[in-house]
Amino acid sequence: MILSNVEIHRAMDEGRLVIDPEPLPRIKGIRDKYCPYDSHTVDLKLGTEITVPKPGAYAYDFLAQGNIADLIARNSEKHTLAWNRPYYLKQGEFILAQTLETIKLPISKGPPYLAARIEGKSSRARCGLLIHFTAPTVHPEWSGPLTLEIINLGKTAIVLHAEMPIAQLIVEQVMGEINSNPSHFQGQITPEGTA
Amino acid sequence: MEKWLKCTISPGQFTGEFAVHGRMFDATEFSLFASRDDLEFTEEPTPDKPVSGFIRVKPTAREDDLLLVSLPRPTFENGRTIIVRVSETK
Repeated sequence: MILSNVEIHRAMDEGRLVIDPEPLPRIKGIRDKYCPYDSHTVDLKLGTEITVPKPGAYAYDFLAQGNIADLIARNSEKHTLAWNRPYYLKQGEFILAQTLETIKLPISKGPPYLAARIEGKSSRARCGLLIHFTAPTVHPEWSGPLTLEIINLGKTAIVLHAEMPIAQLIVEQVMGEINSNPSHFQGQITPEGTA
Repeated sequence: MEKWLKCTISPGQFTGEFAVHGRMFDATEFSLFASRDDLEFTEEPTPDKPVSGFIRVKPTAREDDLLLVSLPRPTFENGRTIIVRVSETK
């Protein structure tokens, strides 16, 4: 079940959903140019840091032993965005970024638990901007900013400014209790090692 | 109840994010990105100098010296839940 904007506000007030800093205003007033809430979504902004993968003669092998996280980090270059220093995302370019907001979906208050999905904005998509292409899910118990996998599929560069609205969050209610998966344990103690 | 698992920590792709590397009970390696809040280390890691530290884990089962723990984020290799030796935790 997808939460309406009223239910999103209720979940925030109850502490079952934390968006920090909180997107404001909750309701558009006569003097407000912009309201981040739509009927069942809330806009998220682009953070101030992006990371650009370095080209090179290396490959990611997820079945190989080793420190893949470190390999990915070493082959990335951080850029900091400022109000006068946007990033020009070239045609076909892939970068990572994060939302300005930290999202928390605590489960300490018990059910109903919340999950969420991050999606792009249609206005950006019309220009060819993808803000994720495979990993939209925000699991219950998540805490942190959301990482965006951004790619420019358009025909021209797209200018990315810090704090520009870049994505929208859809919040959902998870039915029932959440169980850890004991099958992982059963699989990993076999003589063959990890399942 | 939470525990802390030994690991090696190096800088991640964003400020406040770190690359974490460790070993499961059978020496199989795992790695993931984790936030500073879920890590414990005394010296700031640099790309040239990873540091030893601990990552927050949530134990969910135990058999003898084996501990099934849930990591704060999924690993690149095998999901979020791994088996480690109790002696590697505090």
